[in-house]
Amino acid sequence: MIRINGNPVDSSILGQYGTNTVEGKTLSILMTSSQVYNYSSLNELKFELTLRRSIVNAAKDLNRSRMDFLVFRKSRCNPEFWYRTGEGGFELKSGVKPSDAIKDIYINSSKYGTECATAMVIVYYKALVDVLPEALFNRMFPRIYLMNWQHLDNDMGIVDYMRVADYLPGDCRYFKNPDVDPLKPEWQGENVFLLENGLYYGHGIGITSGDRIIEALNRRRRRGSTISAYLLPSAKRMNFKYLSSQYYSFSPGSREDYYSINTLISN
Amino acid sequence: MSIALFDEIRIYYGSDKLATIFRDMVDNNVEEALKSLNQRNLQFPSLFVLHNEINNIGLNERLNNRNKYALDLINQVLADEELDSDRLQSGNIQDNLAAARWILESGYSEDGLSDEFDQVLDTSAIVLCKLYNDRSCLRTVENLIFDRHRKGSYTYDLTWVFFETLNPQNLNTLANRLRSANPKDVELARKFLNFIPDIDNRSNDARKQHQIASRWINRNQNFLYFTGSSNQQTIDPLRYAVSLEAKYLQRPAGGIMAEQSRALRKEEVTYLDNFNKLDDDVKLLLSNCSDYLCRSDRYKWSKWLHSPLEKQIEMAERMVGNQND
Repeated sequence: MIRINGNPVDSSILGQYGTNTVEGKTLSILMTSSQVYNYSSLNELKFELTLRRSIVNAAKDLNRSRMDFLVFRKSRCNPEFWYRTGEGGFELKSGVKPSDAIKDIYINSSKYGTECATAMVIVYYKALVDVLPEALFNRMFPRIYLMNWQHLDNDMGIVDYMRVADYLPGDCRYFKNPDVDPLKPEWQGENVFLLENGLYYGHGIGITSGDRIIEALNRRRRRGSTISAYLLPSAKRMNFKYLSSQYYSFSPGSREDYYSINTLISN
Repeated sequence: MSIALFDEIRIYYGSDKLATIFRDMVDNNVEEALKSLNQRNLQFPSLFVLHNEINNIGLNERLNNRNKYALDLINQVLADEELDSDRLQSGNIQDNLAAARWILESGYSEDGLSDEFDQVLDTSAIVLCKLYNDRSCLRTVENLIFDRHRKGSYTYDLTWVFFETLNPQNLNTLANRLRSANPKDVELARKFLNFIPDIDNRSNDARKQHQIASRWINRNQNFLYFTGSSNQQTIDPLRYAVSLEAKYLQRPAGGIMAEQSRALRKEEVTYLDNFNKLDDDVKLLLSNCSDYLCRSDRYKWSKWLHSPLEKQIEMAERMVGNQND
């Protein structure tokens, strides 16, 4: 159930979105859930729906890109925008616009290669670049360091919830491979985004079902292992409410150069 | 032990000079070159520096077992192929173990020689810890992790294998890093020990932080288990957690988790079944109460554990109440 300012939301809102869209699927899950989802305004709810769609789109775009799956030791990035650190992460170069650097990962994707957790963080940033006004994005994320789940910017507000009532498109989840082949530790698990069609995107594995991901991980287990990979119940989510408040409190004068949330929703 | 000829040349004249001298020696007296290469006190970095020459000249088959194993590992790693655990475990186990230990222990001091060299060191640690369950190298692995963290270099694989192998009863070595004069060490130790309550990232009181960590570890080490969590999986991973079941029964966590049905007595299995039906906060209350009683009066503890659950909760709540008064 969805409540806005304490009032239940009726199903007419679903009409604004197609039933098979990220927004439609998300709304449908939220509305039929036994859990109460509270929002302070309709805009806050719409912002979350938009950002979830942006996450799913950024994940699909990264899947179509030519960014390689590489372990940190072999990772690579475009030196025009990023400095590759000794531990294999990518640090934004000084004097470079954060939004340009994130976009470059998608534009010059063949110049990049990293592992699955960092790919998830890249998706998050790209989703934000596509939704937030450029000036706001660059103000909120002036220093970006891409390296798995370390060095995350607090403003993204990513929280790993141990359990959630419902899994929604745009949630980031984790398939764990507890008995991984010790000589292939990069297959100790797979970070994925849940898409609107129930499939998952994982960097290095592509877009596929949960069963296929488990099969892929099981093929990289210690020889003779009988312990299967499995999907953890946890889910990572950005702080949609905080990001929404940043979006709506951003000076309109600065925002008009960029597409507004209404344009995004109608696309 | 005296220094081997090739080590001496490498240390005093550099890697390029060693390769040149080695080629000259092979041209003039291959037996002498082989003898120096197979010297017992040779250090791994010298073999690594010469691996191209050895491969090109085709001396592989004339190396001793230690060098053969090490060269095969170098070649596998540098070929950038998927490593084959069967190949790394073929042959005599003791010889393989000795060779992998030699790579890591004698290579440690030259960590950073090149990315490839470091990768071979890391692989040798994985071979020892994960293929051979050898924990004797963990101290070296820990030193490597902290040394590399100071330099901002690659620690990912070593950190993974370290925590996959470390016995939670040996966490005190990490706690000792909280007293390090190097702030980077302290930063990393805090990150690794973030599962300990009151380890505060903002505190400057190293002595106090070390005391808190040591006391907590000593009190809980029997009941700790490895969660398997890592930076690949989550933000700020909590690598260890206290098993409330273990603390409640005052049994080591390893025994409870791996061999529940075999290691526990029949009545303990019943206690545990009832315990696991309780809410988390009640479980926490009872496990702390059990720990306190067991430490202070074993007879009283045993009587308490054998009493009905309602009585146990009542007494635990009374104890908390008394402490708060």
